[in-house]
This record gives sequence, C-alpha cells and structure tokens, in this order.
Amino acid sequence: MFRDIDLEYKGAVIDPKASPLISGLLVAALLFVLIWMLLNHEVHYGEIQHLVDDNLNLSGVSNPVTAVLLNFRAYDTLLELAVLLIAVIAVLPTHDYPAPILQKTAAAEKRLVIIALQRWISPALLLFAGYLLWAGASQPGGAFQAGSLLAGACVLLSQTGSYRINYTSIIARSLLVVGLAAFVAVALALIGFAGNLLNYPTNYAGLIILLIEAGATVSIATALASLYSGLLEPCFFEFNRSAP
Amino acid sequence: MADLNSSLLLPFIVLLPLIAALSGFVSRRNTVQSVLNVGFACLLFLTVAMLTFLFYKENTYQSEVYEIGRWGAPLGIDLLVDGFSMVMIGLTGVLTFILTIYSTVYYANDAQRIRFWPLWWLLIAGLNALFVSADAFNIYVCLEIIGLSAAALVALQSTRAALEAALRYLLVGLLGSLFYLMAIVILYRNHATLDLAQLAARSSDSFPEQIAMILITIGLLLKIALFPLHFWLPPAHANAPTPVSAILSALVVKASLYLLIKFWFEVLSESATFAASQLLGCLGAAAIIYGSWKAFRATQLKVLVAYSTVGQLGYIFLLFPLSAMASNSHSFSSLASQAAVYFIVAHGCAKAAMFLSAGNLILAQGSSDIAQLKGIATREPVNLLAFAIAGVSLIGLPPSAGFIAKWLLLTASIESGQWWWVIIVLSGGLAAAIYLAKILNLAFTGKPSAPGTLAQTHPSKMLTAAALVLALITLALGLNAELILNMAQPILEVNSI
Amino acid sequence: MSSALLYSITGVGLFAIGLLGVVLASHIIRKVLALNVMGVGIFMLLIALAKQNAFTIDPLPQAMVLTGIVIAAAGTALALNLMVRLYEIEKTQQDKL
Repeated sequence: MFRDIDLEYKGAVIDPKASPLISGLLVAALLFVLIWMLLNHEVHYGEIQHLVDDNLNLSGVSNPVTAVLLNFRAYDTLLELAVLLIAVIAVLPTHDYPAPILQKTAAAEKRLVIIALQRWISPALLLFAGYLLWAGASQPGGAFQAGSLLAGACVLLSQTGSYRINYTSIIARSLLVVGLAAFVAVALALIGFAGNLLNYPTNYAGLIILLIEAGATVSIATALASLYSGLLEPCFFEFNRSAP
Repeated sequence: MADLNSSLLLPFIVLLPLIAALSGFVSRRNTVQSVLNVGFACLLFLTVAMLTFLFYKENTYQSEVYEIGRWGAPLGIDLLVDGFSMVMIGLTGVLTFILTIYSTVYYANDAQRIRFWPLWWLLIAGLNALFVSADAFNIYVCLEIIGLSAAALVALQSTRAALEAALRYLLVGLLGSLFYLMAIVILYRNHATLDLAQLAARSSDSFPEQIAMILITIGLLLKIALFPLHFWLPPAHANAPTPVSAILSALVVKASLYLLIKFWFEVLSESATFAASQLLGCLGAAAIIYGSWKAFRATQLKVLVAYSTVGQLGYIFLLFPLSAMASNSHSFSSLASQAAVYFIVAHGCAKAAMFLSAGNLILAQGSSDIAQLKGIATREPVNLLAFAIAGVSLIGLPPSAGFIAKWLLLTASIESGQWWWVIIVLSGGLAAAIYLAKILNLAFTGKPSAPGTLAQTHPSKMLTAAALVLALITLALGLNAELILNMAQPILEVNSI
Repeated sequence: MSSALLYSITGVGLFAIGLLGVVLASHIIRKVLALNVMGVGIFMLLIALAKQNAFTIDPLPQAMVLTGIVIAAAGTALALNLMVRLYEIEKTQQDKL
C-alpha cells in the first residue's frame, strides 16, 4: 500500500502486489460487522437537539446548523480554517512576485462562449454568493457555500487567460488569512471582555457571526481558487516571474 | 481579576502559535520574522511554564473544565488537561522552544523559510490543541492539522524522495483519520455525545464500542507506525529537514500515541480486552527487533535514526500488556503507565537531540552516508558528544532518562509476572547498543576522508548548542530521576481515583 | 427498513468500497479518489444519523459534515499538489535523459 508511487503507471488497475482475495475478505468482514451494528443498534437520541433548540435564540442566528458551526462549536470551525490555510501555504510558491493581485493581459485566445459566460455569470455568482452568506443566518447557506461559489467565479475568470491573479501579493495573502485572523481576533477580544474564548455577548452575537462568516467566505474563496490555480498551472511560477 | 487557575491558560497555548503562523504568513520579511519567531517561542514557553506550574500547584487529577463559549459539553467544546496531557504539553513546550531557535539559524538564508514558518507554527498549534481538547470531533480536526502540516513540512525540500515520502505520509495520515472519524460517528450514533468524559461515562462493553475501538486502534496505529504499518515512517522522517525530523519523531507520532492511550485507558477502557493488549505487546516486541535490525543495516545516518524510532516506539506498546496484567481492570495508574509516560518524555528528548546532532554531522560532512562519517570525532567533537549522549539514553544506560524508563518497564514486567517482556527489553537495548556503537566506532577510529571531496562546512555554533542542550536535558532527566518521578507521581497516582 | 437506515447502510458500503480502493488500486490518483469515497461514505452515515424523524433534524452531524468536507478538500488539494510537483520533477528528469 502506497509503496510505489509511479505517476506514469499504465498497468493493471488493481495493484499486482496486493492480494484482492485477502483484502476483499477483510473489507467484507468489516462491512458485515458495520451493517450488523447498524441493523441491531438503533440511533440513540440524546439531549443535544433539545439543547440546540433551547439555546438557538441566544446564538444570534436562527439556522441551527449555522448556530452549531459558528457559535456552539465555533472552535472547530476556527481550526478547520487553519487546515485550509495549511494546504494553501504548502501550495503557494516560495517566492513573492511583485505583480499586482489582478492583472489584465492580452487574451491568449478568444473563446466566445467562455468570454460570454464570464461576462454574464460572474456578476450573478458574486450576487448569489452574497445572498448565500446573508441567508446562512436563517436558512441553509453560509460561509463555505458562498466561498465555493466565489471560488468558482475566480476559476471562471482564469479560464481565458485574460486575467491573472497573483496569489503571492500582499493583498491576496491578507485575503487568505482574513477569516482565521478575524476568528482569532474575536476570540482574543472575547477573552478580554467576556473572560471566555468565543463567548459572544447575546446582543451582538448575530453581528459577530456575520463578521466572521464574511471573513471566512473571502478566505475560503481565495484559498480554493489558489489551490485550483496551483494545481492547474504548475507553470504559474514561471509566467509570474516573466510578468513585469 | 478572578483567581488564576491553570484552565484559563489553555486557549492561549493554541492561539499563540496560530497568531505566530498568521503573522509569519502575512509579513514574510526575513529580518522581522526571525525576531518574531524567537519572541513567539519565548512567549509560548513562558505560558507553558506558567501552565505547568499552576497545574502542579493545584495538585489535582485534572484541571478545571474550560467551556468554550460557556456552552459546555455536549453542546459546546470543552478544554481539559490531566496529568498525562500536561506532561505532553510540557514536553511540547520545551522541544518547541529549542527547535524554534534551532530553526531560526537553520533557515536563516533559505528560500523555503517562507513556507516553513507558518507550517511550523500551525503544526505546534495542532499539537497543543490536541493535548488540551476534550472533544472527540475536535480531536479529529486537530489530527488533520497535524497530519497535513507535517506532510507539507516533509515535502519542503522538494526533492523526488522527499515528495514521495510526503505523499505517502499524507495519504496514510488521511486514511488513519478517516478510520478515527468512522469510529467517532459510531460512538455519536450510540451515545449522542462527542465529549470524551461523557463518552467514557456512557460507554459499556457493547458491540458498537468494540467496533469503534478496533477502528480507532487501526487508524491510530497507522499514524503511530507500529511495526507492520511502519512502512511510511523511515522515508518521511529521513527526508524531512532536520528540525522537522526532530519534531516528527519526538512529538508527532507521540500525539497519536497519546490519543490511543487515552482511548484505551479512559474513554473506551471497558472494551479493551486482554487478547488485544497482548497482540499490541507482541507487535511492539516485533517492532523493537525489526526496527533495530533495519537501523543496523541502514547506510544513511538519518534512516538509521528513523528506524531507531520504529524500534523505540515498540517499547511504549509494552504498556498495554503490562498494565492489563498488573491490575485486572484497565486503568492508567499502574507502574507500567508511569513507565510509558516517562519513556515518551525520555525518547522525545533523546530522539530530538539525536536528529539535531545527526543533521549537524550531515551538514558538517556534506553527505548523509554513514560510511563518510569516518574520523568525524576530531572535526565535530561536540556534535558527536550530543549524538553519543542521546544514544546512551536510547540504549538505556545509566545515568540517562532512557535508563530510568527501561528500569520502570523491567520492574513492571517482573511485578506483573510477565518475564518474557524482560528479554525483549534487554535485547532491544543490546541491539540499540550495537547499531549506535557502529556509528561511534567509525567516528572515532576511521581516518578522516580527504578534504575537498565533499562540501564540508562547519555548522553554526547555535545549531551545535541546540543539539547539546537537548542531549544534556536527556541526561538531566536521568540524573534527577527522583525529582521527575515525584513530579510525575501525584498525577499518575491520583489518576486512579 | 426506514430510509435513514438505507442511507446508513449505503454510507457504510461506500466506506468499504473506498477502503478496498485504497488498498487495491495501483495508481496513486485512484487511491486519493478512493480516500474521498471513504470520506463521502462517512458523511452519508452522518447525514442519515441527523434525520431522526420527518420533523426534527439534529444539526450537529450536519455541522460535522460541513467541517469534514472542507478538511477533505484541503487534504485532497495537498495530495494532488504533491503529485503535480512530483510529476514535474519526473518530467524534467526524463527530458534530461
């Protein structure tokens, strides 16, 4: 397992060194045991759901999932943003390029469909991401969904090659960390004022959550877009270097 | 101001490294950065020292529960430390401090530092967050922080070997965490809580818990690299930059081990069976023998040290059979558990010292070939001394921390009437002596290779000093064994209540 | 058999299929995909767990899934990035030969 890493491998789909019989039997046994457990042990319903319902009006939002993500278990979300940041740091080049964050270049090719799509869909995506962020307080939606949409808009923008985003510029880097930084700043401020990590004052909870979510949306969008361009454009470093 | 108790400091040891990572990522300026990093290391060290001091002064089994957002489990997430996690936090604090200073010199003029520093601090934030967390799902997130940042750090050198090792390490880590996550889902399905203490209170020896236990054990064994699952460890630890190798061997594998011990002895202790603990002991014994053999056969210095980690991890797994016999119920209070905690600390310091000095020797010699180490004793006496002291601790000779750790293990095996583990422990020490003697013999007796054939340099004094300080800590831990044991004892004794 | 149970069993099945893929697949990209299938299986089990009856939903597993998705995305991106870098090195080495 994971022994040979050969990216040009064109042989059999099943690893000739692994034994399908033994692994198949083991996995089948695990599957059998797990299904047996599912069939014989009912889901145990605890008090969490009632606790969420009881405290929902204190949380500042009316959507229970958002309340769990950004209030009751906000610490998980804080660390989750750190996980995303790790991937970004590992992917970004180790040299800073002095180019501005967004450059318009002469379009390499004129693909009418893509260009039309850019013009028509990008503004709509932007608007819809804003709506999702806002709606997250009361309906399904929120930072991650809005961030993914924005990232999609960025990917669309980079399709024709007429725009280049320099993710190593100071603005891009600030955008990448703004979600986590806002979270940490709120946490520190609350330790100072309320004496407890992430204990939002009830009156301002909705506002604080919106603030953190806005920051997280921007960070998630930039992070996903930079991960995409880091994967698709390994030559990303080169043309950034040649850019003025 | 309210009375300062240790739990109030818990969030800071997670937030501080996070802030260091953020500022390092945004600023990226070399001159500011090294000052900032040393500053953050000092601040973190002071916080940990204060936390440790307060915790020992409180002299309780565990700190007060820190309820994040004042929601409290099961709705919110709690932070909590007990004696064992406090020891781990202390070890992390000391090693972080020394390794950060080492890294500021090591990465003084390297383009990779831009990537290194934020990842380094995120890794430390993840380790601290894991040790303070009392929530099963939160621990999953921490495991992923540790796994991803460690893999990214291994890939830093961007050579083919490093990238392959990092990729393998990352995928094994992801697989291990998925097993862990599956177990957590099963536990949540049956107990409707993610809080470790509540899980421990509600769990019994029923079918779902046994499955969860098996899944957790498989997943974490993958991450710890116990013998048959060790294949990813030597390349990852050997190809990483020196400070990263040190922290991977000293702390990162121990974090998964910490979690495994926590689940075996506290959370799901009811489902732990005698046969399973004997199996883990046997795998540990096999790891000792196999790791020592591969270390003896290694031709690269760092590979030797990495295989020695595979072997040394085996000793800690003797904890499982030993404590199963000592007291019929699984509890984390026996002599065996004391031995295991002490072993983790001793191995952490010794292995970090060994990786640092090995890295320095490689820098000095310009080659990682063991055969090239001929006569290095005349050129790099201090680094070799640090290497030798760390080696003494790994072999388990007095006066060193390793000696005390092995002594405790031997006493535990004799007291529990399992004499066969005595043979394993003793022969493991002998094997370690053989492969380390091979290095020292070469370093002292061989003729130095002709200068000019290799890119020989003198590693900076700071690098040597860091390795020596760590080696001396290993020695001091052994000389002040009674002090350390007394400090460790109240925690472990009260643990059984 | 309730629909939640059906979804749970499917989730466990996906986990097993993914595990088999991780162990058996020979190409590293297939292994990464298989890891993602395993993750999806776990998420499905969680979602099935959240639905208790027609009216009430437990939000905690849903929040766990959202957190899990971001982490899975980050892990996959890092793995793919390492692969791309490895591929670049291999290509330059082959070009030199």
